[in-house]
Amino acid sequence: MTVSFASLEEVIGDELFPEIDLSLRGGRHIDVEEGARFELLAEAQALLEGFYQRYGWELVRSPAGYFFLVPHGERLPRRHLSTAEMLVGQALALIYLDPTTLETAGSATRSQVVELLAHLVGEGRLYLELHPRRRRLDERIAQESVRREVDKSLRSLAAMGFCDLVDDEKIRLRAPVLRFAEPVQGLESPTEALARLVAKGRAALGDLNEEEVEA
Amino acid sequence: MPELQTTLTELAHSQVGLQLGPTDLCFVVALRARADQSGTTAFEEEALVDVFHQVLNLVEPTAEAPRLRATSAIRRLREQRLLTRIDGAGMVRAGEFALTRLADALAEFFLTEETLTRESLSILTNTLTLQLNEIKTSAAKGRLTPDEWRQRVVQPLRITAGDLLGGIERRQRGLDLSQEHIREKIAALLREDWFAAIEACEALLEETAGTLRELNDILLKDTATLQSLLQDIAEVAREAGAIEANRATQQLADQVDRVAAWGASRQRAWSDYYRYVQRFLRDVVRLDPGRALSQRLRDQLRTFLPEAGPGEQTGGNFAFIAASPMPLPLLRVPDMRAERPPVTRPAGLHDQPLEEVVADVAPIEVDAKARELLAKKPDGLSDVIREIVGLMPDADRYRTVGRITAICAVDTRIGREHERPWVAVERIGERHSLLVEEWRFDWSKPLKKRKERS
Repeated sequence: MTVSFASLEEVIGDELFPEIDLSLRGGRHIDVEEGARFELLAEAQALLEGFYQRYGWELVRSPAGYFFLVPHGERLPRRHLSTAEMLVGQALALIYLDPTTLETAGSATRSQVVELLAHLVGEGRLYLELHPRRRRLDERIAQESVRREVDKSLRSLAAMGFCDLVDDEKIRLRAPVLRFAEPVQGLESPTEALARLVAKGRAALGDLNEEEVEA
Repeated sequence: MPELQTTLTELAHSQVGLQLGPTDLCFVVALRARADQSGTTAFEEEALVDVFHQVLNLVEPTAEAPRLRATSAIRRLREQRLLTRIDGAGMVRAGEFALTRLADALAEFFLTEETLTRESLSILTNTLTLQLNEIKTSAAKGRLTPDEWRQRVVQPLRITAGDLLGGIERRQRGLDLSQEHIREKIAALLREDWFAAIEACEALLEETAGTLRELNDILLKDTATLQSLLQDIAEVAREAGAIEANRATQQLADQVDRVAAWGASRQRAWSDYYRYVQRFLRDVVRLDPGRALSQRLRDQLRTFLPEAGPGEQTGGNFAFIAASPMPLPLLRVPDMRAERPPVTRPAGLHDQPLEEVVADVAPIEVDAKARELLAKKPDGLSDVIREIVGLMPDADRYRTVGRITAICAVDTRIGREHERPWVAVERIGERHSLLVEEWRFDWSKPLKKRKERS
């Protein structure tokens, strides 16, 4: 499979292509751990960039080596990651960067994510932000309820290729989770980096609790 | 399995357990070290106390009553079957003690770093091959009695060959532990030195990967030879009908499989870990030599939610945009059921049609008749009523009386008698009659004009 492709027809004719295409269109990030799927994208990157461009999508290969699609324009459906997904994603990235995670080759626990968020954001604030319809903290159900919302976000992030859900507690982090550190990765200020991402159509600013943006 | 169940039940019933503090554990390890140094296996009681004092001086220098504590420690170790008295003299004289197999195993775990190396694995597998060859030769001699099968095949298989394989497995577990330490060491190196630790981490990774690769190669090669020899022995045993020998061979073959599977599985696991760490070093450590990324990301997460009032939600200050799967339009299945008419009700009649009603002229006629009679100046009220009421239907009688009385009250002057008699104006059946209070009309004076009743 790992031969270079001479034409787009060959790429589309590959038996792996439909699966890869659907995954990318579903918002998935494909990294080197996906083996043959990643190799196909790497081999056919130049051809596929042009292919997706015609749909108004940009096929991006990040410096950390994973592929994903960025929708430009309104011709095809796209979505903003919810506040909960963004919070959990950043927490996962932070855990990924911790050398302690190396001992377990990228394994983390859901409790770690909840604890980290509660510590950095504050328990009350976290509860309210994860429950947009609630106006005050209900301590009786807060912990269970926050955990449930974090689980929901983790499922969504796993579907997007940021992590794998090993069991009810364990998560395996993947390289695409570093996308959440993108605004602070370079030498420029976070504001400038964010403005650059917005200009490239990869991020949006402001109150974005509305999850879906239909084409 | 039933044997295991019996053993477990017996263990549970006998309330067996181990409770060893750090001092007790150090005592056991120190005794084993002393035994190794002096080449003895037995200790007199004074020697035990002496070793305990040395341990106590090192572990708890400020401890009081060392002699008493030594006695307690020796008692605890004996109760937990770590130390056994071997002289059998009872209370007659000071005892002589030896470490049990359990204590030996504990001490060995902490004292010897028995990990699998290329050399140790080669020696063990070569010895095992030689041993199996000998067993094969013994088994192939033919016409062995059951006792000879047991002595020349079964016992060497179980004890000598089994112990050699056990030695490999024990060293494999040792290597597992050492790999865990290497993982911890790599994490610790990065925590402490970050960018400067890259080379050391890579060296550790390479070294372990190399060791595992070599071990796996040896295991793959040698286990094939071992399995072939075991198969030969099993075949001879089967032909000779030596069931016990056949079973022992099978058990050993399973053990060899387990040893070989360990090599492949550990190499795979280390290979995953190796790739993960290499990626981490490349994508994170090398790109962020100052280790600023974590702190910047921490700050980003801390300020991700803008300031808000109590109970106010703001949402994050940015969000990534991702492709979203396009929902497939599904054609609706036509509804083949008969269309039922909607439930309705007739519109209400807002304009009621006029109804023709025959005018009730009876009251007017009564009034006219009464006035006509009054024009003839009758004596009293009963005269007027009597004339009219007989003409009226039964239902209107009382009402008619009322009307006539009202007209008389207005159109006549009524006399002022002290008592007015009740007069029958009409008989109704046998027992009742219609009675009215009689008013006498005074026609002597003209009637004053009265205000018309509304």
